[in-house]
Amino acid sequence: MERVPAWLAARESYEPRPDRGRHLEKSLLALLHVLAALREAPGAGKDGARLNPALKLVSTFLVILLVSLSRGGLFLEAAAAFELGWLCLLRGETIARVLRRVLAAGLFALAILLPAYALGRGANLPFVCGKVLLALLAAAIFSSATGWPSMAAAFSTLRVPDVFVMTLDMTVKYISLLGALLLDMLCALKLRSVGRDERKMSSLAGLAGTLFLKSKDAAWAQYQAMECRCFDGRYAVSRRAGLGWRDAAFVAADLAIVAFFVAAGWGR
Amino acid sequence: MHIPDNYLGPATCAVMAVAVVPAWVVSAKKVAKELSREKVPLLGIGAAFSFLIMMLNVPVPGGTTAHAVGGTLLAVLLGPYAACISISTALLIQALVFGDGGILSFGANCFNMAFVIPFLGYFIYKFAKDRARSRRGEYIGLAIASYIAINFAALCGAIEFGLQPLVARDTAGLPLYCPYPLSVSIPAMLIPHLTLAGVAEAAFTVAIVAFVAKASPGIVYVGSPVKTKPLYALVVALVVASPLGLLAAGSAWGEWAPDAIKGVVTGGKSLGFVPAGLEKGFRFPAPMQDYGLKGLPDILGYILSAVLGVAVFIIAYKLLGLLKKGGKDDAMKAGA
Repeated sequence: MERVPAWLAARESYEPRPDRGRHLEKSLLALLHVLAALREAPGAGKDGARLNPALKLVSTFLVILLVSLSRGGLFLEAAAAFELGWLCLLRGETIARVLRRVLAAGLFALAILLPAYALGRGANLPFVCGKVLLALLAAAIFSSATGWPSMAAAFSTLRVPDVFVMTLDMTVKYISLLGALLLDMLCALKLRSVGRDERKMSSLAGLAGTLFLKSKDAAWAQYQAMECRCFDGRYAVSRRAGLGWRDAAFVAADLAIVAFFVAAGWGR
Repeated sequence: MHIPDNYLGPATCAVMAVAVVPAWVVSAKKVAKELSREKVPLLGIGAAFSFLIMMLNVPVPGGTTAHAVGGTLLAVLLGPYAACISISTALLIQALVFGDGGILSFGANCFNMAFVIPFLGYFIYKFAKDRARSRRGEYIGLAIASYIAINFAALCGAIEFGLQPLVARDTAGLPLYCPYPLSVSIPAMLIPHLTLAGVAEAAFTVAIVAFVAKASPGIVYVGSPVKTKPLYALVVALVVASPLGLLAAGSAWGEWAPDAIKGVVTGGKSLGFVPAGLEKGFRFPAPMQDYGLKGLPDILGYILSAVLGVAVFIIAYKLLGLLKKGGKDDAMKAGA
């Protein structure tokens, strides 16, 4: 029977040095959040799916613009009523998602603006915060109630050039694909990280560099697939034809908010 | 650096949107001319890469982390024009889908991050690279380029914020949007970028380009050489135009001479006295005080000061270049 070599029999005690860096955990969390947001929750697409997405996009932009132009609290109350009226038509899960996002962003905005009190410039703070919250709410309602394919259809309806819509569509799809790859690489790096990493930047650069090289490969494969399918520059996005009574009611609500803005002295 | 809605007024948002449109148009035309058909999907995938890069947390000194923007990185890897389109696309998706950055302020965000960072970073890097004698010199140039680019973008953002109390007030004189003046917004934006974010951006950019260049050397964007004649022409034009500064009457804020500070008005009241430290403190008798020479008209004094200043910088830079060791030529001679 062979004897166990001395180096194998030696007693080993390894205490890994602690590492303060949390960059991997933060990157993982941020990426998971993004991938979860891109993956539609079951049934989420049904909220507002019966409305024309181009109308929703234009309406969102209009409300944000009017809120930004307003100089008095009267119009802000009307805008709040309009947005909350739209919000209450959505499902409970969507409302919860929207409110979570708006409240988090609103608290952050408040934290940034609060020092203005110390500088003696805080008298208008509630008004400014109200505008920030309403703009965030309008954008959050639009993105929660509109799936990405509908957003792409909205751009197509608004006669945005095909190459731009195709680039946007490809971007979202590849954020999911490359994001999943980056997630796997971050997990692999995390699992292999024991003790203190003295070359954190080098590790991260390796991940990002590999991601870039994979992106190049993916772009080449995408082009070849497009050539094989005789892509000729036209990019068709499926769009709903025509407008229904819901769209007409939505347009009427938009016109009402514009009329209120004018009647309130152009937002004063 | 993503500016949300209602921190900038609609007028500022409109101006910034108009300012960035020419960059988009030129970039789209250049991309169409430079990119062959097989590289068209790279725009969308480049935008996805740009988006994901902004998700990564980069470790910085002090144990904390910062987000890199990667504008100069993308400009070096894909070219500045493709980087502009890719970053703009990523910013649009961030604004619409994730609410990161406003919809009205989309133009301002694109101006700062999709125009200023890639173009400034790329041209500084190219300028340094064409003159560097070694790979290390190129990477130093790249680090400086990305550091300057992100800080300049932060400065642009700070100016956009700081102008709001001046340009948008209600009838009571209260600010309608960002309430912080330039004296607050500039240090608030620049200090974190000069210290943490700029360092993270520079280190991140150099590390990734070094990795990609090592793993796949032919893949990095190679643009046409930067023409320096237009730059020299610009410097000459600026030297000739320097006397325009004489048109601005009075001193800049914080640059008053001891005899002038007595009359400075703040809050409706003039100071009325000269602080003792200013009156009796250290004074250095500069050879060309206030950019002028005794007996010489102010305009000629300004032009002469400009010529002297530019000449001193160029001479110093060229002398520093001579002092660099371990250049490519030396390495080639050693290998021969």
